[in-house]
Amino acid sequence: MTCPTAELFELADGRMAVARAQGVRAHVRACAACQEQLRAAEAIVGQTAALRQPVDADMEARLWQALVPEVELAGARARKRAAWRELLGRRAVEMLELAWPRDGEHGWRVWMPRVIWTGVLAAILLTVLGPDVVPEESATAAPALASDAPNLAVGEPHEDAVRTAVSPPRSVFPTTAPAPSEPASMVSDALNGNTEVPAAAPRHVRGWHHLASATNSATATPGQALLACGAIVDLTEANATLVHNLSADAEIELDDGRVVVRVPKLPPGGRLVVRTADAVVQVKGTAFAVDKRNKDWTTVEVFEGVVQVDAAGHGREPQAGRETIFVHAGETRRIESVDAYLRRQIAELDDAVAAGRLEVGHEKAQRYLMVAGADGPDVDDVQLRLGGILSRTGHLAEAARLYRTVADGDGPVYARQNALAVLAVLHRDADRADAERATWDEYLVRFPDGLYVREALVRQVELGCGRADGAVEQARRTLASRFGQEPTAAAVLDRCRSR
Amino acid sequence: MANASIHMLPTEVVDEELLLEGLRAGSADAFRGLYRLYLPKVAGLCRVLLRDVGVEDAIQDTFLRVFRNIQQFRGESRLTTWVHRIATNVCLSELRQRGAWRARHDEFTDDLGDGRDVEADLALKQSSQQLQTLMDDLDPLKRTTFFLHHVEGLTAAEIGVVLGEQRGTVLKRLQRTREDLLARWPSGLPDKASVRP
Repeated sequence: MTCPTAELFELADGRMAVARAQGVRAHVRACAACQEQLRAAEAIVGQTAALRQPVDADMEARLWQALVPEVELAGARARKRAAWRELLGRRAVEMLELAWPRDGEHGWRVWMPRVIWTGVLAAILLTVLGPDVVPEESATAAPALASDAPNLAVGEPHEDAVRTAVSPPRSVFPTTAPAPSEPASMVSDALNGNTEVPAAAPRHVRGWHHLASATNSATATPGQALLACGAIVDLTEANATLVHNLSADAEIELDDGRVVVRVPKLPPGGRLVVRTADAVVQVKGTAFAVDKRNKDWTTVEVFEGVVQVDAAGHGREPQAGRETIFVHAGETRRIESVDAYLRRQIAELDDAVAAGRLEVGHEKAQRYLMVAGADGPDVDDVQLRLGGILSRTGHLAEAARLYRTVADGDGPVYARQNALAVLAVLHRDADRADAERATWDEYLVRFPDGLYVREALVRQVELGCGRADGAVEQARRTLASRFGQEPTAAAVLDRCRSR
Repeated sequence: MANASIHMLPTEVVDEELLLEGLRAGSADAFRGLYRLYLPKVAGLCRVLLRDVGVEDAIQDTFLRVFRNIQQFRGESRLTTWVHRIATNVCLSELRQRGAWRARHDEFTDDLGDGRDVEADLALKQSSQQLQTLMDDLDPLKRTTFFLHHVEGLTAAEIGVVLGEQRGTVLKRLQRTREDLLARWPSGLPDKASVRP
């Protein structure tokens, strides 16, 4: 028969109940094999005591000395925990502790909390990100960023950016910031504390208080927000709107104040954009600050990496006609507002023309017209200035077309008058009498009370001097009646009469 | 007092609740008491599993983990079980690392031949350390199971908690371990080892 090994060992170990032990012993007495195995089991069990050898005092003392610092730390932790329990209550602390597996846990005690927490995070993500999901093309259609290009050489410093300061790179966040590889799935934003706004509406973030009031906020420290792409945004001094918050496409509109951003390396095609009224700042992985506390400009300061900055036009889109600049670590660039930029262009245009640098003036005028667009401010004035430059540089036909455009446009009356009068003068200088007469005729019809009526009448009389023309006679009479007392008009009238 | 063994109170006479209360309050005396109480147990397990190599480091690592995590001990199992679980994890982790090194090391030593002295082995088996020698040939899980049951007195269910296994699994392994030891034990009493072929 097969000897019951387990029972023999239990019997040898002395753990078996008396009644059962008697039964087993009865069996052993009748079984020679079991007798031998019982003796072996007793011998084995008899030697188990030798497996627990005494610990010598030296080793005990040596090990304890190594453990003393940990004991002190454990004591400090225990006191800290007691303080928390005092503050939050025993149940709250235990609930928090239940959420995490303990050291040495195994089986469901390890994976169950992980499953629960993963579910909670997924629910938060779906709730917050769901409405913001945009077609993939919108992300892939993003313009290539500077960091995509293998060569990030900065071009010539251009006029858009006024270098205000160059300081050594400095870090605004601890270098132990959350690892980008970690799933940065939480979003912190709210509309001035109102989390009930439609999901599609932009949500404002304005400092810590509003962040704290948002149920979906995830801020490690006051004023900091963690975006889905893993970027940390310091909003302490900012009034901003979170437009997109996807893992590969985040967009912040900064209305005023200052944001400091640390962006982890984003995946291919990914980008983070910070827009102000003056600048569009695009990054793929860097640390930088955008400051919009002055109405006339936005300051971009880069601490790490390279940032692509476009001047912003209307709609906060990159402004056509203004160059893209790359701001490197340690640099600070100031991006002017459109208005400030245009004012500066006009001033520099006039300075250039006054100094006789017509080419520079021509470039300034062209840049102004490109940036301002057809509906921009003072476009007619600049077109007139550009026409003057063109005529002085011999580009008469081009100047004439430009004057005609202004004269026939929807600009201010004075600009249209000026354009038509200057066009007439341009014809005079080109010895095109018929064209000049026709232009003055047009002027008198369109602007009978205009600024240049006297000049128009004078030129009509001069050009028709000696001719029996009804229009000329009409001009003569009008000039005499309205401006006969003025020396210039009187002189012209005398000269033509004498002929 | 060098080489003098430490007089330890048996576990049973220590009020575990009182000890835990002191540990949770951060009492240094309680930590010292825990250390003195469980040092022989942890040392015995580490010696059986690690065969005297790296035992001291494993003991220290075990108590470090115990001290660091004592606040998370919620008393759902006996303190003994919890401490043994940590010690077992530390030792098995050490064995896994050692095994990886051994696998590489053996590639270079295979060609050197088996240097074991058969006669010496036989003599050792005849000594009082016969059980220790036989256990050294068992796999770590069998050693742990046998030690925790027959030396530390843990039940199969408690060993299951320590090893993260079902009670039935522990019982089966314990049975196989006993059969292995019996099969390799010299027939009859230990002093009759010479009859073994």
